[in-house]
Amino acid sequence: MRWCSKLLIGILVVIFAVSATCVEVVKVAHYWPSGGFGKVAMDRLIAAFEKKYPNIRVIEVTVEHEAYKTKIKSLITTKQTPDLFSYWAGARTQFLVDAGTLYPVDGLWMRESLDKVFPKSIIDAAVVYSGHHYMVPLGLHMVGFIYNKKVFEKYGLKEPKTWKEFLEVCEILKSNGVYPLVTGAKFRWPLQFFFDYLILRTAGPEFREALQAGKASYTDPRVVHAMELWKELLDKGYFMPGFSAWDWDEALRYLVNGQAAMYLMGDWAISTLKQDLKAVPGVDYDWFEFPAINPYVPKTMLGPIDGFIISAKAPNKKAAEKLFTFMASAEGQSIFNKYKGSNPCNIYAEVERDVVQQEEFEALQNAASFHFNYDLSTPPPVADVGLDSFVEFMHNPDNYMQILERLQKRAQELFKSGK
Amino acid sequence: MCVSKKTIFLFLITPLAVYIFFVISPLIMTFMYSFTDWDGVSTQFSFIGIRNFIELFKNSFFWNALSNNIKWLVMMITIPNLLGLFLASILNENVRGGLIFKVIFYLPTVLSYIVTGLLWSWVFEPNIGALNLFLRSVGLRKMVHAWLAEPSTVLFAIAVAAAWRQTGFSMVLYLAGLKGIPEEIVESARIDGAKGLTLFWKIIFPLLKSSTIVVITFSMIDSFTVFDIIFSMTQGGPYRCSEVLAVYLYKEAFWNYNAGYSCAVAVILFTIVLIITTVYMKFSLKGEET
Repeated sequence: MRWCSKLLIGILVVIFAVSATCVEVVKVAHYWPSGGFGKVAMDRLIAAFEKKYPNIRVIEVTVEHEAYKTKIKSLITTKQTPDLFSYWAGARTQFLVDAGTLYPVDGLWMRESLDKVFPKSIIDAAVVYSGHHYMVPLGLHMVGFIYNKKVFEKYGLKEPKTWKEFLEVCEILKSNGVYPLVTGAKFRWPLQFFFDYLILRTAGPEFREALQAGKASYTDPRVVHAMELWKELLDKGYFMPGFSAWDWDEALRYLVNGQAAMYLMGDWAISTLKQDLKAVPGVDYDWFEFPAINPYVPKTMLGPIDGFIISAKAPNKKAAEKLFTFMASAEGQSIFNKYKGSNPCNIYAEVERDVVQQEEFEALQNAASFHFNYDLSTPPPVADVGLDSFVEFMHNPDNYMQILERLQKRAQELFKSGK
Repeated sequence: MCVSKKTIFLFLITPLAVYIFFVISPLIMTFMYSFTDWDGVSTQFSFIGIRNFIELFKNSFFWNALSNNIKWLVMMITIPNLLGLFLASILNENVRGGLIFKVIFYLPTVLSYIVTGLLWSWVFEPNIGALNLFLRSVGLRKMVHAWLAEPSTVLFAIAVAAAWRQTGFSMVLYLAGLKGIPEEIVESARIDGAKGLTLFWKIIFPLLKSSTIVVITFSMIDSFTVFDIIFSMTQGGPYRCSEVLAVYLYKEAFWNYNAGYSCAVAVILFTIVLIITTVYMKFSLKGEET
């Protein structure tokens, strides 16, 4: 029987070796760690992909959101680079393109006719950099005011459509002992939404684009006017104090418990609201878009697009391209966005939306255009100074002119040095 | 048994190789990159001479970070070391339950600075943090602050958290120092009429010079290289009010794609620490020799 055992072992070894060589491995990195809707969405997406391609195994690498911003930039320059990784469309991806760390997918884009499934505006904004295709836009998020519906109902308030109505709502809330506004600015970035929308609603998207490209000044009267509107909110005490002590999701608890009423934040907050804070959409919270200020300026929508890109040093580009294509497909986008709660970019993808998400989607469809928020559409070193300036302004609103002058001076230096 | 120099060298090869690979070579590479415009990601970069250093000395953010380091140095040399000395003096006497107290005061030292930072972030939370809840409950509402959110309190608040962790370490060093003081000297001083504070400052404290040198040297080096507790609590905010050089260079390297400039900051930081500790050690050890 000895030779039978040896033969059996030999056959098993051969089978194992052959099957091992037939299984391809693709490594994907993203910033949705365990416990959140993003991780569930990725798990479902990957499961569907592996079912379609049983010879490809996907290994997930997850890093916490803030740590991911720094870790991924080091990782993609090494041999340990993931094949595909999530990233933010806009200036940050442009930077990686300029550094030569990304793999262009022009050939794949043409082969799969992806121009037919994504809106041109999204392709231009999120996919194409320096004339080449790089990113598959997976989910689109929108920034607006998430508000405590019960507080609004208690004081008979309606969603404000104009700036005048917004200030009236704030005043009523304040007079009843509720902070009209809360934000969690420990890591600075939530404050950019105020700056962004105030500029978009008063000066318009073309001026904002020029400002972020260094072709307009931070001391321009249009920027000063936007800051004065923001200052008015601070002077009247509408912001809940302590905002620099909380991360963006920590501040949500004050919205839900009714100490504050409105929070200018992206719809990724829905995951925390539903899962961690057990808030019910349409009952505990609702949403309205940033009110109009100048009636002649078209209403635009602001937010990030989450996408995936292939590393230039990806060990398995072939498998990475297959996963990229699946992520671009209606099936992949439907699965991902169903669980993530964001909006698919593929026009044929379908997702179920709750009552709040449906409102957001309708606002997006009616928006004149969609724009990336400040730190994703401004060169990163300038955005860094800008974000610090917004925090300083929140603490010292009377110094807004000096802050803008300093910001302009530093931005000019950085643009001049090519950074 | 005589050990040959060859044997000694053979045993030292491995730790030396590790030290050269992990400490010396990154030091040399940092120095080299400080003269380039490397963004930290690209494979291409150019030699730009001392431009990074010129930019650094003209940059107000650098001076802001350096001044925060100096404030941090003053706080961390005084708060944990004075507290450590005080606790060591009390616990050196045969206090009932002294061993338990020593363990309790030393325990925070085993926590990492990141864990300490996260823990104290909750203590300082403006609405439901333990500190503000306590102040409100005892009628000290006027002292309630958003400790980590206000420019006037942030650095001090972080220093309190760091001192909470560090005091046990100073206490242990001073305890060791106190145990090393010959009893006869203290007894003679008592017989001569010295007591209380006079005994401590005129007799005991001068004999703790070695412990004090160690404690202050550690504090100085730690103060200039502090990063994790500040980054975990505030990331240097609000608007750079708690930003120190290590946090500043981290942001320049990993947020602003400015690795060459960040290396220049690291070189300056290294030079500052080297000068200060060399001068201090020379001054202190000279005193010891005489």
